[in-house]
Amino acid sequence: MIPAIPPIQPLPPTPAGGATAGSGGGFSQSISQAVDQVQQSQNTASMAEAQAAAGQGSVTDAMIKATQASLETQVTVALVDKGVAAFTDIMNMQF
Amino acid sequence: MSLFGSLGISGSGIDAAQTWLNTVAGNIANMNDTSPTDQATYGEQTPVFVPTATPGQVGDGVTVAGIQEGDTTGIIQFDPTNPQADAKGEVRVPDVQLSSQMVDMIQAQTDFQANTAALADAKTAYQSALTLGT
Repeated sequence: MIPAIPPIQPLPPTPAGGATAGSGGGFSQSISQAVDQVQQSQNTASMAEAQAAAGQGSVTDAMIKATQASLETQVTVALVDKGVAAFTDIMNMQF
Repeated sequence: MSLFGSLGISGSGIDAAQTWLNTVAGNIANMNDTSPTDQATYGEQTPVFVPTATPGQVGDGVTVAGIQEGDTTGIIQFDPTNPQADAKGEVRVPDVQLSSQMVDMIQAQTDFQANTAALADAKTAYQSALTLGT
């Protein structure tokens, strides 16, 4: 005998924060932390450059810190680009 | 170790080479010092490099442990016109050889350039890692 079809359960209510507080939180949070860190290294690089220009501290130290800040920016931008590309791929999915 | 460890390691090498160049410059600058024979004279300065190492792990580069000061006895030279000359007309001059200082300077310069090259290569490597998968 075929069992009876169970009644359809109602959908759970949507969380209050919407998509940003839900699944999107992880990515945006890590990116914003990375951007904060990039900002911090750029501040460090600026301070080292100002010190080198003022004759205190070494020029090599300033250049290395600037290189490090530049590389960190490139890493963050590359990660953001990859994440956005993945999101765009899913958005363009044809059903 | 941070994300870009090799940049810091190369940086410490560059700093060490810079210290070496500074000591060589100081030695050459003080080469013609004179002092009375009853006093010590300028001693040739040499930096002492030690690794900033954690045993069993990749180190953090190099540090200058100190500046070693050479023999302050120097050489007794006959120079009666010098106001510092003693009764016998002798003064004490530093035992610094210009030829060895020049060789040290070439070594320090090569050290500096090698560390700079290592840093530039590390940067290129990091940048090429970002192009993975594209």
